[in-house]
Amino acid sequence: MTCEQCKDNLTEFIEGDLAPEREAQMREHFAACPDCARALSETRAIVAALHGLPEVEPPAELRESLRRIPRTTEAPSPTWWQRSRTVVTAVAGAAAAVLIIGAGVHFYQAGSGPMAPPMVAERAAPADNEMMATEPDVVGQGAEDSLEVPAGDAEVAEATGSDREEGAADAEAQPGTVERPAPSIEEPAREGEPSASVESEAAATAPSRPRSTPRRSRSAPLAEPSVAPEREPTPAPPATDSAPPPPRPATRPGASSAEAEETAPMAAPRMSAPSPDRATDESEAAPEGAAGPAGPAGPAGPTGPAMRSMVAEAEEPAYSRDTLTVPGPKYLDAADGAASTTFGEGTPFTVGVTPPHEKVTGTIVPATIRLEAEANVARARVTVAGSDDLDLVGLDDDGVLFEGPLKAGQETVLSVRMLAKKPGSQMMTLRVRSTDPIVDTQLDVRMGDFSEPVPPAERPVQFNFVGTPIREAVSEITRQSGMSVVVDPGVGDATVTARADDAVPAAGALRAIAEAAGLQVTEKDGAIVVESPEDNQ
Amino acid sequence: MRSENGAAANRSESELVRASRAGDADAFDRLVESHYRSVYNTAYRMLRTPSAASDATQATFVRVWEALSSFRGDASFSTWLYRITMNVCLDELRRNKNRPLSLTLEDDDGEPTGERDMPDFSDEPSGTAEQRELQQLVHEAIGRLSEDFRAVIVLYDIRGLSYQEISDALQVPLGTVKSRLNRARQALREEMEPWVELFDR
Repeated sequence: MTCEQCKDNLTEFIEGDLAPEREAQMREHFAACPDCARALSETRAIVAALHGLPEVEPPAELRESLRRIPRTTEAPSPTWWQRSRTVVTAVAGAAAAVLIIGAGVHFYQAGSGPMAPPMVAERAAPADNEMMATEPDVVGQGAEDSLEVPAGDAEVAEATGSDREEGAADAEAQPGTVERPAPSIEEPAREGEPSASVESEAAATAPSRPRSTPRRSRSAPLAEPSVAPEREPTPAPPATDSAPPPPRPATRPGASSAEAEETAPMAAPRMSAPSPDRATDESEAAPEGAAGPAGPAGPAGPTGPAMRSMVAEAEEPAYSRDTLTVPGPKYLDAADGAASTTFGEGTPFTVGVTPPHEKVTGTIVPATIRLEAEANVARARVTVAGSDDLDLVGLDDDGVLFEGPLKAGQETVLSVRMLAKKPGSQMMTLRVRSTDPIVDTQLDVRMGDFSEPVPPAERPVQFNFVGTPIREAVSEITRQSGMSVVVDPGVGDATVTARADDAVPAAGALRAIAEAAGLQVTEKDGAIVVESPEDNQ
Repeated sequence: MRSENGAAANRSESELVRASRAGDADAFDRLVESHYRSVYNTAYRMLRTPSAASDATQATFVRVWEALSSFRGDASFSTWLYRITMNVCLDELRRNKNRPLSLTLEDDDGEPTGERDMPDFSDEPSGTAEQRELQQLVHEAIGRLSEDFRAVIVLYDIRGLSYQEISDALQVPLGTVKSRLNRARQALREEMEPWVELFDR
């Protein structure tokens, strides 16, 4: 029995699978050969360690997503799923609170909107009953976001008795709707559920929800000069939402009526113009349609005629148009770079968002939010929320990013750190509220496309080393690529002469450089080490 | 995925499989319930991070759902499931093959601001700190093995499959399983060489 044979049969020996003679021969060999004996004991020890490896518990989310497989994997037809998924994503991403519930209605109503008719038909069918009921209300915000706003609202509610009814109706959809976008994206089929629960929740809280009314007046701050009466609401939100000309969102509400009139008519064509492109753009399609009706259109907004009539019926009586400045959910496209929008009448806020410089998945990257108020704001509260695939890091459960006063003319800069878990277009929801002036608005901010990062080892590097000490050369490689490499002290004063004019992957470059210097690259304990070949490991 | 419950469980499992094939989502969910932890743990030892394991588990069951119609029931569901799991894992490993030196890098915070991908051990931390350290070293050492070696080690020494089950799951001859396991253990021993003192058993 040679050592070679012994090693070849080691596993069977350990497992007791050998014929008795063979086994006996091996025992003899082990007795006589310390190397093989050591191999045996070490292998046994390793096997024992392997047996001792603990079971790991899967994360809870996994069980949930496994549950969804039959539903999401077998669709009536792939195209239906695709389309509705598009719709869902778009809507959920867009005028957020609108959600799926509202989405159906909007599409249903906005028959003339940019949404493809088939989607409209299918969406409306399953849920149109509850949808109709909740449509006007869906614009609401979650129940949990209660601030001092109710105080102000109470006054309003009293002032406008009919508003209260609207408020009640409005309240129906509000509670808990904020959370919907995320799950809804995954499960369009479950739409019925959310709206049902929303209604019951809403019914329970209706009386205390007069604050909903302010939201009704979610007119287009862009188009409106200031106060209520002339409110030509809806044109603006869609106008804003059509991202192409960024400066538009920043139009001050303080604009003169003349300006407002200009923008108003402009809005209508704008809604139709970009829509052809939008129709194919997942994340943007919805705002056109959805934001329109979501915008608490006053009766006469030049939105699609279909939308207008439905919305008008539902919302007109509820409007309080006096002193409240509560613009509605807006869509902000920061995909191509910083974007901003202004909202709030009388005392406008400008909110700007700068997306992360490097939009990579799996890494926490910062985005910036800038707030500027034109007049003092006693207390503003800014909350942010990510989405299914976008985690916002370091925030409390309420997602409060900022809470405090804003001084007129001063810019408050906030940083929000995010982690995209999947590649693709990511959305963030931003909510700004204050009591004085009363502002409660929501922005759905498109952050743009995130993509998988190139691992450091694959990142391209370029260099031209001539007699460069190895440490410096490695340092340059790691600097360019972000790789993490340890240079063993034993390399001494090895130098390298190597050149890469065209970028090469960092890991390959590292190897090449090491070899050129007569060194080797190994992996130890998870670290990459450049060392002299004679070194022990 | 050993059939701990014996014949009764097997029978009901074949009923669940039959029902799932017919599109019964509840039956499928019960199959998932019985097997997903096992799939997850296999994937975790193959792919080394919880997030990769979650993705692989998801992919596995999606494939199971979609391919149920082609499962003829001649092999046990468990073995068939292992085959899918290993295919998913090996596919994933091969997809990432072109990353030199990345076996541990994929785990690491390649970028300094990344989050750690750490598992949640369902048992109480087993044993002493030294034992846990050893386990972590072993886990990482497995990650340095070639995918073929890793597969047999994970299936035999960690998941406890028999040679035959491994042969079915990996679609390689029985003899190959044995010799590969032998070489895999040797390779693992070499990987663990620096820490040999920790093995005092």
